[in-house]
Amino acid sequence: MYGAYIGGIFPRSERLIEATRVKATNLLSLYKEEKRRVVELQAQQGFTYIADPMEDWDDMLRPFLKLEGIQEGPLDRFYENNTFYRKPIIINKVKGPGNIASTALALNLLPKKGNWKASLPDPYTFADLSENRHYADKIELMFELAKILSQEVASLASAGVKMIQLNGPSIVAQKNTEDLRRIGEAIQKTVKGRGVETYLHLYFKNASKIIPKILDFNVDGLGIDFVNTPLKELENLDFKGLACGIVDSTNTKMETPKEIASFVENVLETLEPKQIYLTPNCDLEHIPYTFAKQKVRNMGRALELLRGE
Amino acid sequence: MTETLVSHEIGSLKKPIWLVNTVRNKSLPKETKDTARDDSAYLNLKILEEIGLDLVYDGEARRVEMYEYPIRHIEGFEFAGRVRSWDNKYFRKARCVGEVKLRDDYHNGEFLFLKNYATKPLKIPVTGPYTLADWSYNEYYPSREEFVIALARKVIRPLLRGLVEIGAEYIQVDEPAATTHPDEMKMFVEAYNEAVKSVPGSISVHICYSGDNYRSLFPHVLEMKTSHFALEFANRDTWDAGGSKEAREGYSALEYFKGNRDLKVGLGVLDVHRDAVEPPKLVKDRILYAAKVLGDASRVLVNPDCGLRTRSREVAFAKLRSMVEGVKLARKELE
Repeated sequence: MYGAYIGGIFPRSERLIEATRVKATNLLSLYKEEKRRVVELQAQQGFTYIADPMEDWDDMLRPFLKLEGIQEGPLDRFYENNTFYRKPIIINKVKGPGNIASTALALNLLPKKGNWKASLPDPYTFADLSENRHYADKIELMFELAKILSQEVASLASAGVKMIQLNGPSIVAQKNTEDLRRIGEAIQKTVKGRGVETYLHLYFKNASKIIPKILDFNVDGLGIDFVNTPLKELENLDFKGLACGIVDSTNTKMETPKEIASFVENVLETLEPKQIYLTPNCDLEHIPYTFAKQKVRNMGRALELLRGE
Repeated sequence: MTETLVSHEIGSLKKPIWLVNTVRNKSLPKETKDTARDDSAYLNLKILEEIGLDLVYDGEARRVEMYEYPIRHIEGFEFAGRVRSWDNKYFRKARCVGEVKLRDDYHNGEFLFLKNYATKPLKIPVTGPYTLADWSYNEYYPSREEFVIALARKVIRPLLRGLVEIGAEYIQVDEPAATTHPDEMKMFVEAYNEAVKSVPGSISVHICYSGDNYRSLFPHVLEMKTSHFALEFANRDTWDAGGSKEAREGYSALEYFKGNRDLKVGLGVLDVHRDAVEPPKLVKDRILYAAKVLGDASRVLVNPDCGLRTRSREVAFAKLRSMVEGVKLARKELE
């Protein structure tokens, strides 16, 4: 019943930060070494799924700038954070090989017997973070990106990935019911028939207004940012699966394992999802490395408490 | 300051390489490093005076940067480590773990030094309470609002008062984070007003790189007790000549200020992320356009979009010279 995982980009260690700053000659082997450590850290906590910590990704869209039809744009603020990403500019029909993520992720470093997990942007968030100079509107672009991402999911699945986390922070701000319905269709196109467990993560803002409208999306569960979304605003909703983002990736303040475990129990009691995962509310890269590691350890200890170990 | 179109730099300049090397050299004694800082501050002051700016300072020669430097002088903070701004660019982010309090008047030393040598009025840039809070982790205060207001009352207000007591007449509160969270504009304005409460003198605010072209500032900023708003515009503008709406598309946000006769605007006329130097005539066109939209040239001050530390010293000084020439052309035309 109780599972756990982390997703997205993990912060670089101080050693890695220095190496990227001076463009060290041994940077690739350092990445490998640091990734192994974070993979090991996840495995030690007994997490259900283990992911490449993506320390070599400069932002969640960067490897996809290689897609045909996309040009590298200027830096832009990443939502309301003091962090910036490179904006994709869509200048032509978008085409891709379908294996960008499976090539960019170090799947070979994941444990042979573990369940592998990967994070991808959801097609709407990808479209929303881009500057569209080619398609009629954002929705048309979203469907084109869904085609590409569907191939990415297929390629990850055939490489052995068992779970896909779709990162959908832009969906949280979407108020238009018709657009939400189209987003649901695009997500269905992205993941349908791929045989992987899929969770759509909504974060950075209170998502309680849109959650009732997307409960029927064709995903196995929703990732909720409980740092920004009050549990009481979700009462009486029927969740299939729930990724419970209670560990705050945007603040160094430490949640104790006991606090995490009792919140998860409370969620389970209130919302009664069929499956529940313990997760951070978003990528841990918003806090320094040592704090991120400690938060992961606290998640592991909370998981033990929940499992009665 | 009765001059129209008052020109000034926003704050930071790239540090001379000899200063960086001296400060980083662990084998050198503190006195040597302090002398290098003094020399650099003096040099920047004199260059800015010679260029002809109306208000001058020292290019923030003594400050590591605008966040880390003040945090080092405020009780209640501990540095957590580095977090990414973008790619391989990081900043050292602090955690607030206790009650915040001004440890020492961290800008008094640099101001007193400059006061000895300045022949023009000094304008001191001071990082504002909202930005200090937004760029930190709050582990201590029960809410973000309480954190921001505590920084305004316990840190920035006494700092500003201290500066006024030793003779500061012009202070600029830097708030680059102001429009990061449009839902928090009320909190930002309240914090600013708390910081400047009963502090005499001319206190302005600098806000930059607003994601929504400053729309979210209104109507809240009408409540701000500020002498003027120093803003960025040039990076969104064309380099076409003239005063048409199309040529001056980067200045469309002036419309928000137009009807509010009390608001003065520090007009960003130099793009700090571009090496090309804006010709004086382009600067003049931008100024005259702003004067026309606002209906009164006395509502316009002139500055770069932001601190020029992003450019080489050579480019920064060339841009400032061009800006001063542009101001002269505009003044002449307005006569």
